[in-house]
Amino acid sequence: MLLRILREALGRRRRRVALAFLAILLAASLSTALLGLSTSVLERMSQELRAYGANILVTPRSEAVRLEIGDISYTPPTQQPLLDETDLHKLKTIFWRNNIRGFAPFLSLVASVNGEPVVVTGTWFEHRFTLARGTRLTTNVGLEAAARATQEYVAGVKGLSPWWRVQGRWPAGPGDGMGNEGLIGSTLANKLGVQPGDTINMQYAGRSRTVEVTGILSTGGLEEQQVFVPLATAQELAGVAQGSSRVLVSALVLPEDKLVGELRGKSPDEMTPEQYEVWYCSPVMGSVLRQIEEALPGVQARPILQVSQAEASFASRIQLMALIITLVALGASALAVMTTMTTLVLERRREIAIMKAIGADDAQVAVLFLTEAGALGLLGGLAGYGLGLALARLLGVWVFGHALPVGLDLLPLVLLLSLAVALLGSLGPLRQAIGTPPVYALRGN
Amino acid sequence: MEPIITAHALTKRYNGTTALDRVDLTVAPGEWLAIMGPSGSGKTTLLNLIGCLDLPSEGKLLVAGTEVSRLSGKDLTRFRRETVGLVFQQFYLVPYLTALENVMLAQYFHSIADEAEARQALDEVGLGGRLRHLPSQLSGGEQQRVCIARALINEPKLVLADEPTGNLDRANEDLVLGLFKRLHEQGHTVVMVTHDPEVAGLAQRTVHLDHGRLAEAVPTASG
Ligand SMILES: Nc1ncnc2c1ncn2[C@@H]1O[C@H](COP(=O)(O)OP(=O)(O)OP(=O)(O)O)[C@@H](O)[C@H]1O
Ligand SMILES: [Mg+2]
Repeated sequence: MLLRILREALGRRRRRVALAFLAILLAASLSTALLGLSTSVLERMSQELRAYGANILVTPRSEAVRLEIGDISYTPPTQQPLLDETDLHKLKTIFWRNNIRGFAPFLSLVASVNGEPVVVTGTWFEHRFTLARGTRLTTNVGLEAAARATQEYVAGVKGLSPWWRVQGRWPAGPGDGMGNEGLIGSTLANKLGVQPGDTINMQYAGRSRTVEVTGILSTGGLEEQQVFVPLATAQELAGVAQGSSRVLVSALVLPEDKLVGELRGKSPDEMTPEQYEVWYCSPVMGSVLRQIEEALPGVQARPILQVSQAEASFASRIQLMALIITLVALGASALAVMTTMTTLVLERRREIAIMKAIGADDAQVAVLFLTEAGALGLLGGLAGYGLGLALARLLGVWVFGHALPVGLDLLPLVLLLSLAVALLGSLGPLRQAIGTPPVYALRGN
Repeated sequence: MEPIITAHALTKRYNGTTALDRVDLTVAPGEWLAIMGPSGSGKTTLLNLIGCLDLPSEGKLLVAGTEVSRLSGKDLTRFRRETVGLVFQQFYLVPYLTALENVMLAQYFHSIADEAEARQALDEVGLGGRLRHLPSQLSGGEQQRVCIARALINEPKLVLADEPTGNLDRANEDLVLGLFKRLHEQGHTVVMVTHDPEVAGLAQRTVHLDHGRLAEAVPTASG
C-alpha cells in the first residue's frame, strides 16, 4: 500500500513533483560536474603541464667550465664538447622509451643579425624519424630484444613546447626544415622591425647565412629574444659538421614516493641486484636519467625543476578556487532543494491532517512523506548524476578540447547528498505539520 | 448498559473564547443522537472532542470506557482509529488518491489494506462504479459517500458525522441518510450534527447547543 500511495502521490502530482525533481536534478548534476571536474581537471592540468615542456636536460659530460646564462652557452661551439644529434633516436630504445614523450637538440651561438648581437639557436622544429624493425630495445637491466616492427616518431620543439605560439607559420620542410626558414622571437622582431616573410642575415666568425622568417614566436620566456633556425643552419654557421650543446627531454615520470618503501631515498649504487632491477623498471626520474645516460654515452642527464614547482603552486591555487566555487554552488543548490521540499510539505498540511484524522499515527505519516522525499532525492540524484556526467563531458570538450574522465566513484556521494538534502528539507515542516492537532490544520482552510 | 459516551463538565476554550461550556452528556450504545444549534455554538467542537481530534480544556470525557481526556498523542491516535469513524463537514479526501485508495488508506493506517473489502464498502454506499475516480471527478454526494465508506471501513463502534448532508441536494441527502439509517439498524452508535430539523427527526434524541451550553434534550417522534 505504501508503494501504491507513493506511486499515486508522485504520478498524480506531476507538476509539483516535477519542480522538486528538477531542483534536485540540477543540484545533483551541478555537484557531479563540479566535483568530478575539479578532481579530473587538476589531474589533467598537471598532466598537461608535465607534458608541456621538458623535465630533463641532457648535456655532454665535460670537466670544462662553460659560460652559461639562461641555459644558453656562450662558449663558442667549436670549443665545447657536443652531443651527436644522430644518436638521439636511442632515447626511444631505453626501457622506459614509451615514457619519453618528446625531445629536441639545441645549438646556440651569438651571431650578428642585421648588425645586432643576437642569440641564434638551431634546433629541430618537427623531426620525423623511424626505428627500423630489428632495432635493439632494452627490455630489462642489461637485456635487449629486437623491435618487431618499424616505428615512426616525431621529435622537435613543436611537440616539446606546445605552448609556443607562432604568428605566421612554422618553418616547413622535411625533417628538420629546409635550412632557409626560421622563427624570430617577438621581442627581437619588434626591435629589428621584422615581419613574417622578411629575410634576415646572420653572420658568425666570418660565415654568413640568410633565412626567411616564417613566423613570430611568443613563448613568455627568453626565447622571445632569439632567432630559431634549423639545427643544420646553426651548425654551418658555427663551423661544425654536427652536434648540439644540449638536448631537452620531456619524460613522463612518477614522483619518487610511488616507489616501493625500501627503495625510497636509496642510492642505486647501494641496492641489491634485485632492488636495482625493481628500481630500473619503475618510471621514476632517477631510473629514466640512468637509462638516458646508458643510451647516450658521454652525456649527463639532469632533472630540471622549474616547471614542476610552478605546476605545484598553480595547481594548488586552482584547487582552492575549484573547492570554493564547488562549495558555494553546492550550498546554494542544497538550499534551493530544501526550500522546494519544504514547500512541498507545507502545501500538504491539510492532507497530513486528514490522514491523522482518519487514524494515521505520527510515525505512519512521517514514513509516508519521508519515503516520498527520499525517493525523489534518489531519483533526482541518479538522473542528476547522469546529466552531470554529460555536463562534465561537455565542459571538458569546451574548455580542454577533449572529454575528461569523471570517476564513477562520485555516484554514492551524489546520491547520499541528494537524499540527505531532500530529507532535511522535508523534516522541519513535517515535524511541524505532524505536531499540529488535525482540527487546527483542517480549520485553517 | 454502560454509556458509550459520558461527558462531565466538558469545557473547551480557544484562547479566550469558550466554545464549549461545562457540557454534561451521556449517549447509550446503539443510540442515534442529533446535535443541533446555531452556527458557532460549539457543535463541531464537541464532535471533535468526542472524536479524539482535540483535547478538552477542562472536564472529563469517557468514550467506550476510556477516559480520553487523560490520553495524549500516540494513545489518542490509536484509540481514535480503533473506536471512532469520522465523517466531516467538508469532504476531506486525499486529492491524488482514487475513491478506492482513499478507503484503503484508512485500512492501511488501521492495520493492513484489503482491496476486496474496500471495494465492497464502496459498493454498499452505491459507488461500485466509481472506484477509480479521483475526488475531483466525483460529485459532492459521491465524495460524502466515499467519506462514509472510509469512516466505516474499520468497523468503529462510534460513528461521528458533522453535517453530512449540509452540502448535498435532496436526492443525495436521502441517499446518505439512508446509509446512516442502515448503520443505526446494524447497531452502530451515531452522533450527527445537523441544522436540519427534518434530519434531526430521524434520530432518537436531539440535544441543542447554544453558546457552548447544552439545552435539555427533547425526545423526537421516532425516538
Ligand atoms: N481552532 C479554533 N481556534 C479559535 N476559535 C475556534 C476554533 N475552533 C472553534 N473556534 C470557535 O469556537 C466556537 C465554536 O465553533 P464550532 O466550530 O464548534 O461551531 P459550530 O457549532 O460547529 O458552527 P457551524 O454550525 O458554523 O459549523 C466558534 O466561536 C469558533 O469561532
Ligand atoms: Mg461546525
